[in-house]
Amino acid sequence: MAPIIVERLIKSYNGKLAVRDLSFVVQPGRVTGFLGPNGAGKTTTMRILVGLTSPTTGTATFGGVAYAELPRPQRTVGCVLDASFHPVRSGRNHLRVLAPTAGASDRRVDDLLGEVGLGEVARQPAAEYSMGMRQRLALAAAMLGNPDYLILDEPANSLDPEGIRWLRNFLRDFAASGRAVLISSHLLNEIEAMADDIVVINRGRLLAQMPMSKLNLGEGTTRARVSNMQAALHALTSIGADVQTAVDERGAYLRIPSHDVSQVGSVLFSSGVTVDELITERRDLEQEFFSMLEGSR
Amino acid sequence: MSGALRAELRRISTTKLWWITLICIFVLSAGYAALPAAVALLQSRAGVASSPFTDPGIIRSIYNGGNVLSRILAMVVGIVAIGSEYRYGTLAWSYLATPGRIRMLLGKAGALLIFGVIYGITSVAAGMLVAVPFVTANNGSLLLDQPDTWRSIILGVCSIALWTMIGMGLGILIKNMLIALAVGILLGFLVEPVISVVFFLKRWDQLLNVMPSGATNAMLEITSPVLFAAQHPTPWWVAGMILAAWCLLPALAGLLSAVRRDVV
Repeated sequence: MAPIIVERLIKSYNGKLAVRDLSFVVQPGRVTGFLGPNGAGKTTTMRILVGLTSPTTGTATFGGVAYAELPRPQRTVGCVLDASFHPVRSGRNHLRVLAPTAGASDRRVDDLLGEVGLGEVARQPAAEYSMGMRQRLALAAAMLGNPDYLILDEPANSLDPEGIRWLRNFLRDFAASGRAVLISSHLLNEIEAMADDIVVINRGRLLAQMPMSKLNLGEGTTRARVSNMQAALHALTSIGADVQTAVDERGAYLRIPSHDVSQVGSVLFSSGVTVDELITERRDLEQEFFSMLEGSR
Repeated sequence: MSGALRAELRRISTTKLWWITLICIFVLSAGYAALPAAVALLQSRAGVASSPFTDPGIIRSIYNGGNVLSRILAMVVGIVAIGSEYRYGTLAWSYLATPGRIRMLLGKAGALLIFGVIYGITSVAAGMLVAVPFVTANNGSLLLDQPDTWRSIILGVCSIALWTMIGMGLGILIKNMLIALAVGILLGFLVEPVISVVFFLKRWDQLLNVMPSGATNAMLEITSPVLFAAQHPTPWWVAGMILAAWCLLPALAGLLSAVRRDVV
């Protein structure tokens, strides 16, 4: 299966640039997290991908074909942009309206409703659905044509923890079958838990595209808070440790990236320094994300 | 049948509006058909007209009595079909399923025309049901053996179907559904009829013939003065083209503007 390729995308609204020369690739068999602060151009980029917004210049293609040129787009690309539904139409009927162009039968509609956990409320009007139920219905709609690509804009919004776990497993299985997922979310720990690659943008520009494995998340630095900074510094440098001093709202502390908690602990114990706190600082996607944004300023 | 057309037929048939409108059209058309029938009956009792229920113009007026109202309701369905998509932000679903904008809108237009034909048949059927007791009680004729009667019936159905297109065009041009409905109903029920009545009273037949309601009357060959029909109407086929122009202009203008817009 071919990747999604976004190439030199520019979108300007009345001279204001929402997307600036954006290029990235979404690989099949992987979940790609699409990150950026509010107004970074994520939604605009996703709407351009599926032909709802026309780019000023540049292309976005699925295996070399733009969404609007796909013969039956729902069978190639599934898309969850916003979970808007006609309030009177039932969830089942909403899918039935989308089914003819997706080539899906009523049977497939009912199967999907069951799969996303809406089987029992399928015939209720969408107005009676919670936001989480709407997100599930939107996902079922995206899956109608059994697509090869999934594009999801903030799908975890208003899902409960159980729903988020379900979504995570669903997307992991989808990607594991060799298909491609592009998912935007502001829930960074969610992306951390499910993405294989990340694409980070800010103000319409690409900041980073990389596999999550390159971020070395989880590898930590030892942090120590002690009663006597000078004595601790002396003891640690005497064993050749790389020690930095840092300050936060609780005061000064030490960071020792070269040694783990047990090594630092035994050195401080034998030097007689009272230890108030001794932990491993784990770097997570959120810290990476903010340091990328800092770097772009 | 193309997927886009089937999708749009389902889109309309899965809301309540279509059958509520159907019932309204049937009931109101029966009521409005009784109007010219009652007038003809009074004229006959007063000795003004000798045998009104054999007069083709009057019979056709009864059959198409509901047209004046049904076409407005058909227009409302057209407005809501597009307007509700803007109102509830569901247009993106339509475009995702059928990204070709002209194809998607042609699918909507086709589905609306099919529902318009159903409304038209319902309206004329109600008129014919009302005609039966009047005609049989007064030794008249339903004139169903005359091709002109059938032409009027078929054109009556077509004219109502065409009015759904006026609605669709208005719905695209005016994205706020409530404003589009207000404008459509105001134009259809007040502004256009008042102008037509002025033209009728001034006997400005040429102007009256190019108004939507005047063109509809001429197309149906309705001569009843109750419906402010022109004394010298254009031939039915010219009137049909005038009405088609009225219906298609807003639809085309709407199409052209929708093709360029980003979907929001």
